[in-house]
Amino acid sequence: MNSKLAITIDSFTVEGNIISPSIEMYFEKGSISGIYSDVAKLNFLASQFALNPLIHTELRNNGIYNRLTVNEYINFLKGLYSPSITNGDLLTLLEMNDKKKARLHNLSNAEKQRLRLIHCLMNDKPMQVIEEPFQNLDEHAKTIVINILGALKKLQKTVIILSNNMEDILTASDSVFRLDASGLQVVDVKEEETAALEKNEITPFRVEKIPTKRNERIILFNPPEIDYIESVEGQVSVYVSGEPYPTSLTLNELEQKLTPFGFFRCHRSYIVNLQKVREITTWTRNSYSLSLHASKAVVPLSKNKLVELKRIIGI
Amino acid sequence: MNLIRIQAIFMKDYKEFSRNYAVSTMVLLPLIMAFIYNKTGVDSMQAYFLPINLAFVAVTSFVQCCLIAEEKERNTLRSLMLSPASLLDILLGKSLLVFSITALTIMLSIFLVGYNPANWLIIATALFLSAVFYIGLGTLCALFTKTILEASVAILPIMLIFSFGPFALQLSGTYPILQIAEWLPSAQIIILAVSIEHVFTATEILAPIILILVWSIIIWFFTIILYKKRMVD
Repeated sequence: MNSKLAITIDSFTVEGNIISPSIEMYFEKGSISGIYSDVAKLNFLASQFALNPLIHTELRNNGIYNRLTVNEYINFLKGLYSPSITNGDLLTLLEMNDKKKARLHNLSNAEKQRLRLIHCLMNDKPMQVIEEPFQNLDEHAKTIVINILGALKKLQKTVIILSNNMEDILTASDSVFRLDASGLQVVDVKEEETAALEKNEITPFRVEKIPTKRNERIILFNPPEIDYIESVEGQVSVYVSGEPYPTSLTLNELEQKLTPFGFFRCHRSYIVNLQKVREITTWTRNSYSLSLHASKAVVPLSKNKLVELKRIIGI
Repeated sequence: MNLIRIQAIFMKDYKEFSRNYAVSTMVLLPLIMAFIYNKTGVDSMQAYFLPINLAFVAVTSFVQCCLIAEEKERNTLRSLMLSPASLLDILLGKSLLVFSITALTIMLSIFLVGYNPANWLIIATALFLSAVFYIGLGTLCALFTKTILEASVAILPIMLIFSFGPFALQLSGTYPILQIAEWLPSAQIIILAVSIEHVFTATEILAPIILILVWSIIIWFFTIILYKKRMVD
């Protein structure tokens, strides 16, 4: 058996609309991969993983037996799985040595969440899919969960984390994927670092992130993530996977920042990521538009910009 | 089938059962009834068997139903099904626990109500087969209930039919249709108990026992088929 495990997932359609296309994934043994997506896609993905006999899926809503104590619960699971791990090791790993005799309903949510991971440590399936292992955890609890994931990795298991929090995935996993309507994309963490390095040589102490604001939170996007930028009545919005994120930067500032990343001011109120352009459509002699890969969005292209675009692309 | 797993499920369910007073206090119901019947001095076979038939529904079927319904209610059944334990392991672990609780309750009820059967072996066989039937009934009931609350409601019509069904026979003079209650396993065990008190023939003994056996086989057959169907998804 080779060191890679291949998984194929059928496409997910709701009333004929493809929500996620059929995807093929390859995972290395003894690695942690994170898949980032929205809740609907993650639920679908988890249900598909659950059908595979090689995969253990640990869902966020899996319950525990409230009336047992921690020790009794571990003994029960040991009876089910007959694992090689001892109670002492397990309690140390979970940092619950002092809670041995506590009934499960008296534990905090973070502790209950950790207990669920015992299932993953005990079963002998080669792949472990864990849904939202970090949800609602404080920093300390997150460290413990990362230690548990590390222990799984040492056991040569393939761990897949499903989450809709990119930050959690980035801290915990070796490789990161993003699932959207166009399929599973590798979010290449290393490449991003080198790109930032190169950038640093030209303009030191500047990190090229595009700040956007949504629901009182500031979200930073890497330029390659952005599909296009639109300005409507003075409000500039950055579009990522079809979702608008308002930003306070002006189009001219953005144009300056983003031109080195292959962005192009295709219209008085639009900047487009040329990497994502699939098609240039001619409507009449004077009107053109650009269709994008990822979303089904269409961006207008001014006539006077067409010449410049042709020069950049080289047609 | 794996004995370690069955034992693990047995122990887990035993602890859950003993700490869940809403369910475990049901054991007292037939015992109190048996005690009161004894003190008020009833000695008909109908009265002897009322606490016993009540124990079969209120304890055996109800506890079995609750054990499974609670797993559904708290979303633990799914991870249990995904574990190496098979459906048979899970059901056997639970059934064994319920069987032990039943055996204890029935023995205490018989003692408290002051019933002394002429032939212990025959009555024990019939009680054993009945227990198997009522465990199956509880398991079947759990298919249609998702919470303990639903289980306690669902058990009421079953209690009415199976525990109090034999009383309908007394009304069968006025309403001949009620004669049908004679075929209930709870009525059959009373018929059996009445016949062993006198000189009896082999058919008098075998007919009720076979009938209870048929009830058990039918109920388990349906239960297993329905579970296989439901558990696939």
